[in-house]
Amino acid sequence: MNREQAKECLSAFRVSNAEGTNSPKRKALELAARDPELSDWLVHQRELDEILTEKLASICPPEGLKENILRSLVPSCPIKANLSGRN
Amino acid sequence: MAKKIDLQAIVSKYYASLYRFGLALAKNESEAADLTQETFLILAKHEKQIREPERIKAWLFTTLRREFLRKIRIHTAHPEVEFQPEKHEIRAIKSDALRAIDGRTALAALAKIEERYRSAVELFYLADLSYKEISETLGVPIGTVMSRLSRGKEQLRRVLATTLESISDKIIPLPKSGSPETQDEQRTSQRMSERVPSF
Repeated sequence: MNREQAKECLSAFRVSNAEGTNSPKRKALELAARDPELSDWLVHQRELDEILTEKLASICPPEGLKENILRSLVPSCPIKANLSGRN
Repeated sequence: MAKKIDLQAIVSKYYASLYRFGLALAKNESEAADLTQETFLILAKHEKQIREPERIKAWLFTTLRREFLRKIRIHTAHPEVEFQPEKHEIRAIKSDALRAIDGRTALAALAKIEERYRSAVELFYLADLSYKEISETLGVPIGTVMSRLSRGKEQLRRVLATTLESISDKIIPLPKSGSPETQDEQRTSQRMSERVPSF
């Protein structure tokens, strides 16, 4: 594995280790431990991932969207009223 | 046999990230909200056919993207000016400067990545999908996802460097108060503001 291949592999993973450590990832991390340029790149890449994830998550959906979705998923009440025959 | 799913819990968990993904695709708040709502309506319609609830997250993002693509096939596609990476050098980005941007600026930067890489990067950052889930969602091999993520993130770095540079160019440093030059500038500024009508 060369530096470019290691970058490609490490780009696919997040800071958290939730996705596990498979063989290519482990090899890429080992290479980063020996290669200062790759190591610097990895630090910056992880920082970029962390900051962008946080910034993008700060975009709020419009108020009431969740309620509208839930309302559209639940059968509406007026149908019951019609069935009662009291219109 | 299909397992029973809790629609309310799924809406609560994913509606915000689906909306943000819809916003990245449609670049319009009301279309993003419609796409999010339609995605859950499709889920409710196919609820009984879902056999693997643990794959619902990837299914939701796949469905939203498919709905968006279906709509743009019906309507005229919006032409976009794509970022031309060969014209931009990679510059170092200072983390302090990066932390100063807001979510909308980050979203606008994502939109400037070449289309072929953009979807993978959007799913990585906005949907929090793993590379395996991105591969499923886009219907492309894992190796292709890795390559798209790597190139897409490289482009994103260039876009952000350019964005941050243009922001810093627009910032005019505040004058030091008390110095003779500053007082002159203040007097000139005051005279100018007296001449310019206010709106």
